[in-house]
Amino acid sequence: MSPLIILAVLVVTGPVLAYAQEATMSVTDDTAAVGTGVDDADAPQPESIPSWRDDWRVRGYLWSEGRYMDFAGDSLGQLVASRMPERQAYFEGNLDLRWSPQETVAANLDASALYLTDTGARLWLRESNVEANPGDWRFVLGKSRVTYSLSAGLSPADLLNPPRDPAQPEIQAEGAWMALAQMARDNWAVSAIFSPQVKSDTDGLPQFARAEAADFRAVLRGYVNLWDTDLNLMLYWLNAPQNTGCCQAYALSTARVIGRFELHGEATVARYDALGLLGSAQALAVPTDMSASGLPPAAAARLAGLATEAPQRPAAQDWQVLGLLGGRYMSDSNQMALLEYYYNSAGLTVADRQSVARMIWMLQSTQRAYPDLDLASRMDAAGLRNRDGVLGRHLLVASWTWAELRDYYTPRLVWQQSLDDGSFMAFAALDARLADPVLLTLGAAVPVGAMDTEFGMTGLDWRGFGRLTFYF
Amino acid sequence: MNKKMWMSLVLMFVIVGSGQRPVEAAAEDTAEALLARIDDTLFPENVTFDWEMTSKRADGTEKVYRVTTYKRGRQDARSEFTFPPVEKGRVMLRKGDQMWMAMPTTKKPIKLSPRQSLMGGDFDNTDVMRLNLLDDYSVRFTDSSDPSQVVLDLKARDRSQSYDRMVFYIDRASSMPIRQELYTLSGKKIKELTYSEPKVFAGHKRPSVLRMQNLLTGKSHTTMRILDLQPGKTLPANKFTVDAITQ
Repeated sequence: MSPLIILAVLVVTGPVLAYAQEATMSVTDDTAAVGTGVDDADAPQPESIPSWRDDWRVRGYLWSEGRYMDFAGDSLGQLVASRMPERQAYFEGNLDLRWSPQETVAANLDASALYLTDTGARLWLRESNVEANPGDWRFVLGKSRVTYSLSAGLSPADLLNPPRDPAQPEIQAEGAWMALAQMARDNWAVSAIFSPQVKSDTDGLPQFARAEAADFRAVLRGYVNLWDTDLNLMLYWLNAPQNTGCCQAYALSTARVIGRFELHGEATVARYDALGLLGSAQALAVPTDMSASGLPPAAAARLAGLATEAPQRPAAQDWQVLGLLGGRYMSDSNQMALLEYYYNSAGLTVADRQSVARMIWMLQSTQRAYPDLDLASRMDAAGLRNRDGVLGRHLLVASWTWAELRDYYTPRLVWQQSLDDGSFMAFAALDARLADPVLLTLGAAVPVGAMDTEFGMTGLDWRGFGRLTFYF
Repeated sequence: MNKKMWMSLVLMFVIVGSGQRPVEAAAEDTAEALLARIDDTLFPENVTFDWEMTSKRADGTEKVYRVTTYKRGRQDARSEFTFPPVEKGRVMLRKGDQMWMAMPTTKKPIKLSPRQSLMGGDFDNTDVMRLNLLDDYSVRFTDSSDPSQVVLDLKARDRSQSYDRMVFYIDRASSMPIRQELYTLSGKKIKELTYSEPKVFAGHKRPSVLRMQNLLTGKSHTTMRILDLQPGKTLPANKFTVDAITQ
């Protein structure tokens, strides 16, 4: 039986089971109602008030941040980080609006104007959509953050949204352009999303794929809450550029509370070429043609070994598994401990990473010999400088947060441990509430590992930041 | 007037009569009936209320939150934080025994343990998003040393509840709750909840101030003040789904 049929059966039977459970509960309630002489059908229905009571909901923030990066003294680190300035300043003004002229209709806009010293100013549409909510239905048209992931950090089951910032994987900064239709009842839901992919944007305005290069993602999702457990099942369609092929991916996410523990897990099964289409953390495209065109012959000769050094990647048709298992504990004193294990069958092995390090070393020495060459951008294109693109196979993330310690402070520690090569990244931050709407955040991250390890390859000795945020 | 209309009139008299019944009749109620009336007072089935929570810590610092809670039927409740600004958009959902929380930045529903503390204060999640007591606890009368009070002894129906036992002191004359003692499974009294300042909100009378004293930490306490309450008004059913809390 194909996975497609299995998923379709689950998507259909899940809601049916949930509906049956719902119906059983209703029968129980009805029985109770008979006992009290009150018939539910005759009971007065509550008066619904408009969704947010006010037609407008306004919130947002002003954000000012200074960043400092201390590059590793070794040449490998310098090349990896060669285009990054040591100091950056970042400013952002965000406005999150919701206008609901009628109870069942709303327009949402979440937009930021931001300025980064090395890239300049731009507008960033995080969300921009209109929605209708007639009865159990919901329709959305526009850019929206819809995620069916139930993890805290990395989201291997989310193949729809733009990738999250690995430095803040818990935050979904922006959504995907989509048309969504959804039906949700008490303990089950089904939804369908069609998402044309944005090739680029100009000042936040999207440039969609051209018709002849049909490039889209679509997802059919079923949700059930059975035996106090949340379960999402997703079937993704990923269409390649130029309409050269379409492939499916299958995903699930689940969460359950046991006592004071919350346990969650998610997984995606997809072909390697499907992961490549995502351009996100799940993919790694180390090119074998880095030594090719545009280089002087002598430089090309120096880079001739790149092709042989490039790690062996899975074949396009090979099925891959991305998975996550995690647990969260919250204490009475507002402390939260989180542990998540992440597995990526397409991630780099230790040998793969050593190959990548040798490639970077070759590029570095060539760059030194030919300073006018722009090898860094070639590395960008290959994903070699992108932390997302060089994830290993086994990663453990542990974090601890004590929210509002002595009311004003929230310390946070995050430990990312590569189980492949033993390297790690330690991150510490402290939020200090200066006033109700003003938050000061200070943080620093230290990657530890040899140059050819997952975190040693980040090219930094440490990085730090200070941020002042005014919320309204 | 036909038979059905007469029966309706009689039934109406019974219902209206029981609603207006002087509370001194409380002693004639069964314990379940009295607890049901307390449920109606504290947790009416369809209601919207704005409330403010002030946590005062042992070191003298305090933190204020403002929240709007919508309750629909006997199974669903939804709370939306409106203050402080950094918490704007935090949404909590309770459906039966299950709870979720979502933040506008994460867009993921996070399953919560109903037993954990709300924002580090002295109230548990279930304290502020309680659906009703009668479904969660069995109840019986117990002796009262004060003739002006009726005392109910509540025992959790299962171990999912934050408190295994509650002793509930109710004013015999007004039927308003006065005080609640909260016990763990081991029988230790850990918290005490006092009710005060009864107010009438749109015709619905209930205590407007709840003060939870944490007996384990000594000096810390959290106060919940009802700012506004609209009985019979709530959000449409589609706002009480897991998907809806991330919207």
